[in-house]
Amino acid sequence: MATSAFIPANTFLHRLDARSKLIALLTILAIAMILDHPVYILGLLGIVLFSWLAARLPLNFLGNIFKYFSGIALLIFCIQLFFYPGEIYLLHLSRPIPLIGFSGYISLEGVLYGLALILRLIVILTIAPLLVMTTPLSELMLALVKFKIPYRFAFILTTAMSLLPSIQNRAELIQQAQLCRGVADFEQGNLILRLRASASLLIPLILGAFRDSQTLEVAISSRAFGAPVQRTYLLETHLRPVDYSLIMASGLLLLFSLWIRWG
Amino acid sequence: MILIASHPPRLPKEKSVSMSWMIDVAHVTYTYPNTERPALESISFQVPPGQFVALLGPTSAGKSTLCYCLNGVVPRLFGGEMKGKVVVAGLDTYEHEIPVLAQHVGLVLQNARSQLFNVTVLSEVAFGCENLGMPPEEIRQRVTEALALTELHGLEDRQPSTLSGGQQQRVAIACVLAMRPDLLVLDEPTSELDPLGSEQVMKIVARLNRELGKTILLVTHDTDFVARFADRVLVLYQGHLVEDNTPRNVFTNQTLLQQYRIRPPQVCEITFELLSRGTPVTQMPITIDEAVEVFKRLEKDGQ
Repeated sequence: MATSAFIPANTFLHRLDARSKLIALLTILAIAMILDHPVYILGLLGIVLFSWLAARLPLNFLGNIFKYFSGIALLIFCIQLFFYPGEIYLLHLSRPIPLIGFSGYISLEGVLYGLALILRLIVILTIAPLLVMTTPLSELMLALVKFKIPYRFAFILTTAMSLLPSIQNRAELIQQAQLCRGVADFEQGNLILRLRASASLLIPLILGAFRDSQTLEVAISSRAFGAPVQRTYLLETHLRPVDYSLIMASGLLLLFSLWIRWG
Repeated sequence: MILIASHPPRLPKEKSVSMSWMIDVAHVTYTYPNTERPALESISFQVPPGQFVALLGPTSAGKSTLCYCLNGVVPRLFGGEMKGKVVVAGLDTYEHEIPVLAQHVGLVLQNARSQLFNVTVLSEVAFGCENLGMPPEEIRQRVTEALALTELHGLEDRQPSTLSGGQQQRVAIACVLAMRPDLLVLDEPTSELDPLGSEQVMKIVARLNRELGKTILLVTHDTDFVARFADRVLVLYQGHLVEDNTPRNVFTNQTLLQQYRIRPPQVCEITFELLSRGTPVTQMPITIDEAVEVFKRLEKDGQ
């Protein structure tokens, strides 16, 4: 069944219009791409984390992001550390190995670029949930439509987002049912056993998702989806002064970032 | 700021012309894509406005397919080959698109969970009216009306996923009622519900027929409910319409019930058992009220 990642609360962020939040999100993403010094991106991450706390969102979710991302982050950092071509050498390791692009040195630029890349990815990973968790999907869809995104596309996007938690629930249910039937533990044993166990989870999960999507297709068609008229909306949203302020602040921050980078 | 300050005229509800039948199905044969055996074969029947029809039959008899034929989902959405003619509320399903037919035929599916996808009950019920381009004030009025009919007051802001099975199925009914259809097609709406949830849903279905005069086509295995409320029973078996009769004539015909694997109402099962033991039951009850009368009489007669 369709559920949502939205966490209801009455905070400043929850009260903002979805459009202003969407603009702020895109601005932060753009700035994270424009700036390449880790200190600036750290500042950006600070804004995101402060917003996360201000919205009273669960910190364990943030912890999970860091936990799952730590391995990849380390790999990314090491690649930049060893292969980024810099001019200020910090450490001499060996002779250059041109075949793999290793200069033999660890440079300051490599360290900084590695850090910037990791921080940039953390910003990207934490900003999207911030929007989804503080905005009901219906408002998000409305915001997309107001930005002239075709309704059909906005509907598909938000419905897919709303269905993700239900697919997760179904996966857990199937996993429990299969364990009860004596299927090998999904997290134990060698690779072959795990793959075999995964098949017993994935096949019913995919088949169930297909069946549900067909039911959904019939249900939405039966409720006049795609009628050849201008769709109307019961929900009304309003941009308040605080939304305009956020949009202006986002614009100024973007201009400032452009000036820092190329000014 | 209202999102759509002005919008083109909404999708008009096409008036049916000289409608003597709410449903007129003539010689319909339908085969799903990539299959050889037709799911429906030479189906013909008519239903007058306001009638409560129950569609019975074993699994894979073609009941859901017949339901899908009535709002154009078959063959428009599923493809396949269809012969014959389906006219609902005076509109030929071949000639009209699904959104046009949706204003006349409300289809409620078996699995309530899979047909609800909005964040709140309010947005779920408003979805169909929004698609038809109705003004927000009218949508609000229709949603309020539909929620009242399905006894879901106060649940407007709830997430459908947090409701009970019975409430979810009532939301599904409210979703189609908001579009004010003339015909309500319900495809096993209680098959996944507990007895309390089933009772809540069936009570509303019965009320929609009796008080509002909605034509109902109900697919169900709940023959106790059918015996109490339906005017007529259609029996589908392997894609064929094998019986079209009153509930009494169907539920008292043991041969027919066995042949087409239909479980009769419990009071009929008890009576069949009494008859097999030689108890002289002269009048066959099909509802509990009738059974009370009949069994009291038997007791008085010392049987």
